[in-house]
Amino acid sequence: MEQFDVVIVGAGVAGGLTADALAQRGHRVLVLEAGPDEQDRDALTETYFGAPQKGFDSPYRNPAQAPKPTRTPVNDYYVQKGPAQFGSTYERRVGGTTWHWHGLTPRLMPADFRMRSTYAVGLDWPISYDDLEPWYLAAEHEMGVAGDSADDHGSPRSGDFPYPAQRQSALDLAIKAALRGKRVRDVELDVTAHRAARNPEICQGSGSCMPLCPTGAKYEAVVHLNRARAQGAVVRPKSVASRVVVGENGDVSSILYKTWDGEERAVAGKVFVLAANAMETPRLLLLSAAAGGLPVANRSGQVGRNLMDHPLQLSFAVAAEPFTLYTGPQSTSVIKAFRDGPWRRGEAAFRIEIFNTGGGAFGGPDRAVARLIDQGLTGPALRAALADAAGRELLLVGEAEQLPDPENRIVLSASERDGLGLPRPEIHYAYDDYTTRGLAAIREVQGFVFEQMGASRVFHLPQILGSGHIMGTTRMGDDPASSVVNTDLRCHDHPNLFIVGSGVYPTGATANPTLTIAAFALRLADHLHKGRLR
Amino acid sequence: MLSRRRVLEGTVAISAGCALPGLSVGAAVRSDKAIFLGLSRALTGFDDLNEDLAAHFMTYLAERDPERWRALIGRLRTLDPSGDARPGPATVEALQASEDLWALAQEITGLWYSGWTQAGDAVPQAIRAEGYREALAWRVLALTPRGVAPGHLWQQAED
Repeated sequence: MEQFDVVIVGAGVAGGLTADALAQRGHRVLVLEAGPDEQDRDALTETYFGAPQKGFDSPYRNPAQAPKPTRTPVNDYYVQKGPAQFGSTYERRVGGTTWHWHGLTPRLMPADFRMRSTYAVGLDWPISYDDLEPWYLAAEHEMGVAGDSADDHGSPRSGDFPYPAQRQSALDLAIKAALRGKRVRDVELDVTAHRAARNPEICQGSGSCMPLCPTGAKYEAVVHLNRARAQGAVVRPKSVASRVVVGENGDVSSILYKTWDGEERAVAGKVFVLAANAMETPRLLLLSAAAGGLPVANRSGQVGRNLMDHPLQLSFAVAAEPFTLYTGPQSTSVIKAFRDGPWRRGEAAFRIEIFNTGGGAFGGPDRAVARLIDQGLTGPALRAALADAAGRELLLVGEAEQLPDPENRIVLSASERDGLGLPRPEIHYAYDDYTTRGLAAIREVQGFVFEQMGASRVFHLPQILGSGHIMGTTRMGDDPASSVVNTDLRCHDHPNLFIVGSGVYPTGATANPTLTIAAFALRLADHLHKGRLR
Repeated sequence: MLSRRRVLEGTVAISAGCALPGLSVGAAVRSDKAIFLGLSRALTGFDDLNEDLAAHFMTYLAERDPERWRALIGRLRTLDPSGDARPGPATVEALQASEDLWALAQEITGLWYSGWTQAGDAVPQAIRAEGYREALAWRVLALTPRGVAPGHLWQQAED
């Protein structure tokens, strides 16, 4: 059997950073990735351009051996049991979902780690913001985050960002001016530049961070995976982990994986790291239990439970004056005033992103075109009307906090299987009153912003969408009876099995999860290097 | 699936079907394309339309609904038997009198402005990609298509 120091499952941001940090320190690393390794940016861009419907997943194929959930169109990879639809998707490929992510990298806030003790809801994390802060800074430098170092956004900093903040769009600045001195829900609003893993020395504002940056200005995990390879790490695509095998002493002895042609192989290691996101990691643990007859990392019964997202409320309006839209990074600014405050005792916190995309987040102004053609416009009149209408399309996107609920969970489907015969994820999912009240608050605030701008025809999308922020299914805690991993991200039940990713978050807060994932990955690599791999 | 070869074959077949007495097939090919481009110019407000894309649109529309396509071309020939006039508002107004032909004219306008957004899925990916890049909406907005780097840094751009 092949033997490595570290076997990592999942070649996304968590696996990539862990692999790179350990390979650089001389450890023999294998990364198993279910999906393909396809990094030809021009070919991916061409696929995106030719997609009948344009969305997060357009550039990337969806092979039967490593299927993924898709939104455009919605597919059936998830077996949805409701009552709400779980709308978040991800990529299964070398580089993972960083291919299609937006690149936004806010940190969590100190209170996010203390929800129970501060607001009597959710639970406290077993670590504090201060514990993670040095790793946040390290992650920002690894990923090349641009931000204003003088404004900590409520998350204290011990160092500067590697790049200055990206320029805010004219739309951002117009909203900022309209909101100056204004309060809603007794909170003063401000519009500040995102923290984003987009290199301002490369970014041309091509308007397609999601699903694909044509210049590579946006951080993608292939940066670290390719660097790990250069240090001797093995990244093995088309290798679908199917079982974590536990020995008699409780240590993990090997991981079984299937190649795309169905051959089953095994690989041994000193340490195993599951970094396959908060959907595929619990799926693998549940698959392992089903195959071996005993629970794997699941003494607590929490594997797959407490599934969280940041449910999205989209609001549209028509601006009083046209702006230059459909260009630039898709969002350059945030309204962050509602990320933390006393209202969190009773309703979800939230962030609001201002979109530069016009009404269509991915393609061209197709809705405006269709509407104007329907009105009978042709020729020069159509040209003039479109130039005006497309510049007036406003879009605000609110992302709500969601508390952990053990009934929101992923289990294995008893009847539906993927192309390799492995059970597909079955999802049980609902929004509680806490989140529902937060979504109502988002509509109120987004409506207020539009009103201050003098915008008209406000429309709040009735469907609540997923943000792609899948969290909470392998939670971290001190108590093995109620959590899956400890503060070192080691599974309580298996001394050499670790989990890194947003699955370990006890609560979801309002920060896009990737920077915290990256911070955890660097922290884990350091822990392993100084501990079990010494 | 459409290939470039089939596009050309289709154009010939369409044109042959519509050929008028005394005109060669080759002349009819040019005539159909000229008719379609003339109408497209009137509908879109753009004179310099991509002729390769026009051929793809023609083939797609003719294969999908040959009867309606022939009716459109026939109607346009009737409106301008000599082929000397440049289609304009009067042509558009004449098409509006027919619900069926006007719907097709509006679809043609949408194809030019949005690429294949409103078309079926049977169009090859490469042709779809070309339609997206060449969509007139980008020219109206004076922008590169989303996903195409504009050639200058966002940090230094003005909007």
